[in-house]
Amino acid sequence: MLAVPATPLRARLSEIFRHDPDVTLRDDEFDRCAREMFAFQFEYNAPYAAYCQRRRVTPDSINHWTEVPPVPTAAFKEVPLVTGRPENAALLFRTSGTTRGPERRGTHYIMDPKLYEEALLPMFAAYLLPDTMPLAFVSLIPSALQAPDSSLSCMVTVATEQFASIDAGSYLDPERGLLESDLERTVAELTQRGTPILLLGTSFAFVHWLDSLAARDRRFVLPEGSRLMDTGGFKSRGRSVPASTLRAGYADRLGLPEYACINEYGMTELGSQFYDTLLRDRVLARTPPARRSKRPAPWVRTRAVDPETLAVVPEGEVGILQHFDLANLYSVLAVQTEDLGRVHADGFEMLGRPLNAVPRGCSIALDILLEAVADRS
Amino acid sequence: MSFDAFWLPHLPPDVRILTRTLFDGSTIRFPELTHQHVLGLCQSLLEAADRARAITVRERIAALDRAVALLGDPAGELFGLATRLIPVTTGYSAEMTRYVLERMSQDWTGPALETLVAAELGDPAPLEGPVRDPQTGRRVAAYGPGLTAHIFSGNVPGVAVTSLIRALLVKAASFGKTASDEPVLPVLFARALNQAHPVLAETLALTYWPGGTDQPEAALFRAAETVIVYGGVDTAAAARQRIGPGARLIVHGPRLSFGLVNAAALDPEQMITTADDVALACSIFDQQGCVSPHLIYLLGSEPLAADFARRLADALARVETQLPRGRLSAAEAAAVQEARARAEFRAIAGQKVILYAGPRASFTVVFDPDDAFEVSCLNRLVYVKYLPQLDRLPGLLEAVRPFLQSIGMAGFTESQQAELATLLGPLGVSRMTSFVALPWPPPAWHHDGSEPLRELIRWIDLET
Repeated sequence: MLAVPATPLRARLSEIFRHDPDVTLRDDEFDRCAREMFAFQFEYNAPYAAYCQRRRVTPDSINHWTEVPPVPTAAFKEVPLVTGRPENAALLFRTSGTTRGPERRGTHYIMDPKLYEEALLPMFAAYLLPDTMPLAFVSLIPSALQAPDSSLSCMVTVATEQFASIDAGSYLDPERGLLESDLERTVAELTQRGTPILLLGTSFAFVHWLDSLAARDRRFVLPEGSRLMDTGGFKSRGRSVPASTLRAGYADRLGLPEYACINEYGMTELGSQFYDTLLRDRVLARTPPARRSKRPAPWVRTRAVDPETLAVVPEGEVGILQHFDLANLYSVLAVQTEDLGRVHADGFEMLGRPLNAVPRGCSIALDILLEAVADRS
Repeated sequence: MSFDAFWLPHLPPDVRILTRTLFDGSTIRFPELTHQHVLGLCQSLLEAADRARAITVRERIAALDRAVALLGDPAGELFGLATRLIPVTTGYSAEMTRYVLERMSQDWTGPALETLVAAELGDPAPLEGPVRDPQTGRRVAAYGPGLTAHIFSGNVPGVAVTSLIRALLVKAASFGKTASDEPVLPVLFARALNQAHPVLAETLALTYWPGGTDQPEAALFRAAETVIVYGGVDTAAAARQRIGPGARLIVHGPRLSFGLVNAAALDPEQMITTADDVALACSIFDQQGCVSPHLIYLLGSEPLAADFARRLADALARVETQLPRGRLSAAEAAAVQEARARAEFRAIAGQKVILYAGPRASFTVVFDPDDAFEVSCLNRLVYVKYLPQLDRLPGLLEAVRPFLQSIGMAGFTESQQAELATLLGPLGVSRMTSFVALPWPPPAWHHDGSEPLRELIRWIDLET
């Protein structure tokens, strides 16, 4: 058997990834690719095939991509969900291990790093660099070298190599934490030179930096054209800061307007990423949606399902988000997340992670107990 | 409809009343209290407690008996309000609400309270004045706290009423802050008590404020001699920081329980009864009580344990028809889906895990031959595991030691139970009982291992 199973879809996807970011793939094209991908995965992804067979779903039994069974992200912690052989994976991404102990981490096997890059770069450019301004990239995310199994680190390293006019370095050391003085020195220098900056970091890291700046009453006014990408929520540690508070901090301490602060939503289990549309909408002089919204890439379909019945909920209603992502060629097309959200015609809104739900009283708070248990074991 | 979710006999007239609308359109009203208001209310409570001091423990028990009869009367107005509103605030089904109310009120009757007082205090006479202690020759008197603050959680309606009753028995005044998902029952209890004995009802203050409302909480914590907190780790930590000097803090924090079934309870004649008993214990309070089992360990053999898992699923389906599961938040339902997905994929990965998933997210049983302890996401999701040897248990429970509370047992002789107690007592388990009794601790139980009435009391020794 070939190291990576072959399929004509692979070449087709390279074309699809060059699609106009603002136009979603036509339904019939998406459907054709999705069902072909499902058949491919059914053949080469044994655990996924077993999952489908338990539901009596096979490539022959379905007529539409909506019938492809989505896999909950929790499954990635239990089995290798890879189309092809795990040992042939070129690289591995793992979820962070905090909530359930180090051994149970979700893994995404990357069979074809080129595919991963081809899906990543156009959307990154479309939503963070819609004006093709030359930018110095300043990262609060460990580099891929420092964190080889982090999909986020990989993403930032690849994007920096491809798009940065200046690679101004990464300032989050996995051991030592945020290297504040180095970071601030770099930012000050670039600001003085008038070089626009793209700051990239997790919301968690930005909260820490903003708190530190506030404590010293230090602020920057970043050069015009500067912007920021933040990602992720607060898992189960750290203060929970509402996004609006965070953005107020970006405005106050970094001089960044609202539209220049773009949130990215991605996960280890998905090949594609989602971005707020604000900056792109502004540059293209379009009216942004009423609420901050993420627009799926042309090759992704997102829907919300009822958490009890898993039936699709009407537009605008809260449900668990599922993504059908053609970039997941070598894992599973359809992924059911643990995130709640609302889907609209022009994108979807995130409502955050269910596991941070308020616990009920003296019965055990699951999150807290799991942390305590993880600490003790 | 609109419900005043507060009982504040000395509330100043200038206080603003806020409203919260529930999902069915009904509203609950509660006052916006300042630091000053709370201090004033606490002062009034202390004065009321003084005026009520002469009311003896026996008289209090009689008054409570009358109050509970009013509250628990299925034809009465108060019961009607309870069954109308509690499902809306807590999410419990109407059937579950009725069942819980009817059952819990049996623990608040005169005879039940007399049992409690006798069990913990023997003779309540010291609460009335100095009494010669025959053992030591000295005279002793007992005092409850002047003012007790209660911070309630919302997962089990009725726990709050028990807490207030304990305080009343030791002659303490009480200021109770209710939980956002259960602001109703304590207030109805106060109204019932007011009908039975208005002077006693004046020693109660009950209201709701949103969690983290700094000022009223700070005032309450400073004024109270004893603070009783029900709830998560954060609530307890916050309380510890803020109680006054010399004040006592009693915490009923996060707890979990599990079940242990011996092979003897799994023989053909007993299997179904055992499954039914376990299913009911897992379904009461939708498994959200500290007494609710997360996991059932079975002794005997793996095939027997797997068979039990299947029977348990059938039994849970039967319980669901009589006592439907309540409304779940999206987050709670998502947690069930996630747990089901993990179980299913472990089975796909070749582990001998079997998943029984009730329709929608109504109930779930996960059979897993790996005996590692697993914490449930609750809402009627139970793990069933084969335990090859009893002496593995202490090791398996090590990680959850600080949280252990109750064990439901089936199929053990009395002497075997005593051996289990010797094995598991050191781990912090505070109650071992049948599955039938598991959801309903008796009035005189050692709540989380302590004596809830006695721990409220301060003794004074007269040594002359």
